[in-house]
Amino acid sequence: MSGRRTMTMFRISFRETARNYVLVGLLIALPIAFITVAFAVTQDAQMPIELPIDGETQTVMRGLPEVHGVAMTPLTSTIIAGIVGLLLMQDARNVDGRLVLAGYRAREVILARLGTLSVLVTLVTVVTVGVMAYDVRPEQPMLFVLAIFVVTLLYGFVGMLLGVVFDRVAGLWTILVASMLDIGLFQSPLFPMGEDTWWVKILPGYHPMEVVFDAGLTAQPDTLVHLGWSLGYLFLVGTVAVLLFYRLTGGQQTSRLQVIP
Amino acid sequence: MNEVTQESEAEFGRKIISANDITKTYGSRLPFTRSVEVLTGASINVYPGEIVGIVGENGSGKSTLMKILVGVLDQDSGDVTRNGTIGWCPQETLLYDRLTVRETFRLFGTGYGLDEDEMTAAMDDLADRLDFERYLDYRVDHLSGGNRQKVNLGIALMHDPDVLLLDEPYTGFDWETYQTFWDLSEALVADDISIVIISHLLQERDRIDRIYELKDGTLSEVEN
Amino acid sequence: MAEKLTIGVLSQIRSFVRDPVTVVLAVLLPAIVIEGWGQAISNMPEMPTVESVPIELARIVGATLGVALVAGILGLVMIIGARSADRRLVVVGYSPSTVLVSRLLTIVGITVVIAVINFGVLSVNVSAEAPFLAVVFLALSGVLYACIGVLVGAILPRLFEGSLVIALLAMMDAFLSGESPLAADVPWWVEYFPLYHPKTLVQDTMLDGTYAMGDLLFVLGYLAVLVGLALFVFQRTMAVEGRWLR
Repeated sequence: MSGRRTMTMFRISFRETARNYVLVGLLIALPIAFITVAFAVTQDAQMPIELPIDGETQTVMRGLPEVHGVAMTPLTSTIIAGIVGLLLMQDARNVDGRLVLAGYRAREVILARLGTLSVLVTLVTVVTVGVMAYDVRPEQPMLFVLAIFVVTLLYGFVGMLLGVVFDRVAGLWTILVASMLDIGLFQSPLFPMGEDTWWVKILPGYHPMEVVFDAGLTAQPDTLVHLGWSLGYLFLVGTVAVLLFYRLTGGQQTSRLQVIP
Repeated sequence: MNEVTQESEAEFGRKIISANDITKTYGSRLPFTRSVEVLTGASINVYPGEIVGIVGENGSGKSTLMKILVGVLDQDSGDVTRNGTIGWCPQETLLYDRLTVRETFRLFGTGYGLDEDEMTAAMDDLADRLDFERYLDYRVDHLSGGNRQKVNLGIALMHDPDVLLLDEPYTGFDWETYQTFWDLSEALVADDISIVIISHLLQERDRIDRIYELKDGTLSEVEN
Repeated sequence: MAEKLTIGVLSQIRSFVRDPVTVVLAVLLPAIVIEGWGQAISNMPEMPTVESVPIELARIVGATLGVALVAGILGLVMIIGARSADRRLVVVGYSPSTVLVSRLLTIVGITVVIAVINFGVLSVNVSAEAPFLAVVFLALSGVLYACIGVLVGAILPRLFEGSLVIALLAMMDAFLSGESPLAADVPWWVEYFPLYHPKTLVQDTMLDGTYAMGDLLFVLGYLAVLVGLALFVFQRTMAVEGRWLR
């Protein structure tokens, strides 16, 4: 019974999200507008960039378009995923409570919503990395895909958290600004601002973006520790998002709903 | 409480919904803004097969009371006991915009624990009675306000609840739906299903068995 | 007429500034965009064959973008408001032209305020050679984007979807129109992007105190076309049967 409810909910939740033309439009237009255009307009020059090689940070030369393209890929995917998370949480706030009243357990609703988020994050990862691969192949493809998936899912959860505090429009702007600053500016080796300060290191993008640039621009993995921290961060933010989702969906009420048939 | 309730209890037997001394205050998350005491000790009983009206001015806390009775909002203190299944027809339609009517029935039907046949039967029956068969494959966001309200009511009724709670049903219903609703409610009451209607303005008072007034956070039964 | 117009403009402004999100946006966004854009572009490492961009220039592009973003949202809010409330105003006796003019005056008025805020933030770090002209040109870029906001709103009359389109549009525009090593190989038609010439005007008045008449004429022509389109959209939106021609 529980499995059937979760599956029905997941299928319908996915269908409902896929019918959101804003998301479909974003998924098609944003990777081309952000990634392909970045490759196309960037000067074909070599730039010095600090990358982890053989366990230490070294300054090496890389093509400016390649660095720009690698930087734009997670920026694109995190913006889309943040919006997906935001919209999922808005639904949770508004309508999911009625589903719980209809007999769904809060955990079934959450499981279905998390399933939807994961499928969409996978899709966003595949599309953005695919668009990037048209112009440049990441040096370590598997690790790169994994890192993009992690940072994208992380921003999906961040979008969910913002959806608790803000309404749709304010949440959208916060996602755009957060992603631009964290992913696009603070964590990007395109714009080095000296030694990373403590507040740059606690932002969600810090650890996964180290892995993204390592996997995108160097031949050997040197940032597995950062991958570990990323997964820990992901677990933490995911747990908080799920707990808040549970609260908003009305999980706490069902325990007190004394329905005696 | 008062005599009328005791009479009703003798007459109808068990209570479908019983709420005692409900309080609810909306705290304010922001500093320098006031918290609002909405309910200060509201009590109500609903018995099988009766139509109960709850009236009150705008902002008197009717929707808050209904959400607490239904179980989607927590009261600060007091008890609510529900002896049966609940059908809730909220004021804002609370449906998923991008699902079709058919998908909406499937989603909620699965939640109610209905099997395929029961779901289809309930949907077809309600679509026929409320006259929205033509729109089964329309997306909710493409429906007119009146049709959306019909689907909203249909979702609240598809699992044959023991009590139907309606929040300001007249605001969304057009005249035709309004008539259909009363025909339907007669059939429901005949099947011993209770109906609770919350509205700032109760029409058709002769159809309603008992009326409560919500004022200053408490409920009192008024002469019908 | 004058009284109705005053009440019209005041109530439009009131309903705009009472939305806390808009106000926070209008004040915070310039700071974030100006410094964010400025620091980003100017912090790019030295490259052998690439000319680096001075931070002043990057900040100026940031200010132009900041004005465009907020003004674009303003235009969107205006057309959405027009769809819901303006017809009603026309029905109760405001003449459509009064409503229309009050909408436009509101857009221009708030855009000037936005331009002043952005100029203020910009002035903290960049001293202007011709401050008055710089504000005027910033406001011009704002009015351009407010018109774009109106047009986007005519197609997508929803705050969420519309503001997403405007945000991405303005960011692409500023990115391609701004002179950075990251957007150096841009095609010729980028010159026709809405921010390309306004940015040049702001930049010249800020840094040199002069401007090229060619840029100004281009912007004014652009503005004329967009204002015409925006007026058309407003008129269509507000038309109440039989009353519009009065």
